[in-house]
Amino acid sequence: MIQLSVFVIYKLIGLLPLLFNLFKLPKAHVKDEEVEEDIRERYDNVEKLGKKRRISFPEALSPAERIRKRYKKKVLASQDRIASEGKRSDMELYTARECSEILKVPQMGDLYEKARYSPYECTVEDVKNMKNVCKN
Amino acid sequence: MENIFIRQDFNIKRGCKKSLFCNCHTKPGGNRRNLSFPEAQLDRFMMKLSMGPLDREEELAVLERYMESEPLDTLSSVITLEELKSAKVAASHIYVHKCIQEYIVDIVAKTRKGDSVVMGASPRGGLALLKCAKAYAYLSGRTYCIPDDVKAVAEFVLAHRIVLSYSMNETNELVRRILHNTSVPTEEFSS
Repeated sequence: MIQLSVFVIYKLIGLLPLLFNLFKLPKAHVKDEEVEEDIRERYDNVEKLGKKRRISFPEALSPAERIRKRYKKKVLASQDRIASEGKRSDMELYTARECSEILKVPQMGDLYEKARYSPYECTVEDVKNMKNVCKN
Repeated sequence: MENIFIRQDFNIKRGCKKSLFCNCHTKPGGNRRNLSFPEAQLDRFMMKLSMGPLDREEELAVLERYMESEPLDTLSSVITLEELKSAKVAASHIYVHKCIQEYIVDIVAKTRKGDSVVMGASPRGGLALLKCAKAYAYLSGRTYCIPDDVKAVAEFVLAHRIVLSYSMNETNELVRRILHNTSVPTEEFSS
């Protein structure tokens, strides 16, 4: 009798993991679906945010780089005038100060020098000033 | 001037104070045989400046100044020793970007090239050019050096260190030509 009861208990203990899995599996599937939905939702949100926050190329440059870019653009645009007045065709032979003196925009030289040779960080205000100066 | 000593006796040499200036004067168009220094000694002079000839107005002003008094008697210092020392310290802290250092090295290297060059500027010349450019930037009220500072002082710092095969007086012109034809560290315009 005792032997029979031990056998039944043993079998029941053996069935426990199976019963546990039977109850657990459906819940686990539901959870996975929820997780998948969550991920999809999150991904959609990220995509939406990504579209909103997408940074254009000029904004990705630092203020100093933007000032240098503007300077280069301005010098290349006025290349003929600089070459004729400075008597040298290669623009790399001119300092920023020389170029700005020829073009009569001394502020351009000052801002460029700050961006190129100084240890200080340029500000957005400097970029705006450079933009205004180069327009003239 | 660098490596300077005052020779008090034949056997005693004392290093000078760092604030000492050493000026050597030569007459304009002076005879080089009488007033020449060895090249190694010339290299120790930081700068060679020329006041140039006086024009008529300036010569008249000199006569007027010396008419009744001796201006040297009333000459007073324009700066104290402490001010000079603090200015030297401030000038030594001027920031020099790597590209400016490379620009200086390029200029000095070009003084050694050419068929007519017997001796170009030494590395000591490059160091002097760096120091003078920093001082020029400081006097211009900036805390960083720009290529224009180097250009402004290069002729006075390098010309007397160069020896040419044909003429000693052409060295200034050579430095001017080098400055005129050396690329300045700005942007790459060719690409």
